[in-house]
Amino acid sequence: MSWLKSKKASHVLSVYWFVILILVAIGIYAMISTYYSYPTDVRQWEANVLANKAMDCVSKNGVLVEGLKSGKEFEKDFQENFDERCGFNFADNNYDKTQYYVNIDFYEVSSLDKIVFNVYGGNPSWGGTYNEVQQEKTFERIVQGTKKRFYVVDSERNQYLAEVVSVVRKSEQNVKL
Amino acid sequence: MLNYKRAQIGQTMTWIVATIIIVLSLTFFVYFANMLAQGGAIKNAFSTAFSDVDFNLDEWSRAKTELAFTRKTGNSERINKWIEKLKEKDE
Repeated sequence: MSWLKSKKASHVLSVYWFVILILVAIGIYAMISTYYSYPTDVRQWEANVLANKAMDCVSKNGVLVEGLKSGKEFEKDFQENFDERCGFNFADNNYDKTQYYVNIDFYEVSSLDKIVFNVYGGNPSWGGTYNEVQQEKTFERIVQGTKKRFYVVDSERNQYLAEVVSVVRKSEQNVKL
Repeated sequence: MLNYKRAQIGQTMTWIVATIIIVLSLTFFVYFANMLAQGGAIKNAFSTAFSDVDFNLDEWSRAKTELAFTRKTGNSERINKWIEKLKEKDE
């Protein structure tokens, strides 16, 4: 009789072991999936790379690139075909809307409050969102960006100052919304 | 008979306590993994992996400015002040 009881107990015990094994497996799975479900936000770096590429596109060795300015006038053609001229391709199959924005404002050294020329590529609405992020950190998760300033001269040694703003959205891939 | 029953209760209690300990430690580790991911541990690891690369390439714009100064040095104070003003805003 006691032998029968012992057999029953051993049966219950093996079921219990299976339950514990499953529980531990679920726990390990939960740990790994929780850890890896948090995406790494690389948009700040992406924005920096984009800004640097844009700077390279307009300034070479400290001088404005050919085709950006002829004589005293900045080229409208450069403005209209900025993406093409700089080799930017903002299309992304994962999104309907363009997820990038880059803008360069040029100022004359004598009047720093007046933009003399401007070029931009990508989706301008992210520029507005980025400005709001700078004022208050409300939309930080939506866009990330960077702002850089540099000095450049044209072939006739006229001095200009440039401000680059580059913004990356791609929040679905970089943050948990 | 009484001793056998006591032993049985003792053994059952041991298993119950063991189960509770296992569940509690698993819960702790899941919570810890969550905290680790949320607290930017991955981001920090990523930054460390690329610590040799300066992604916040202010150096790039500085180099461009320096190169432009080799062409024309006039208004340098005004130019540098304007560039520095942006950094002050960021800080």
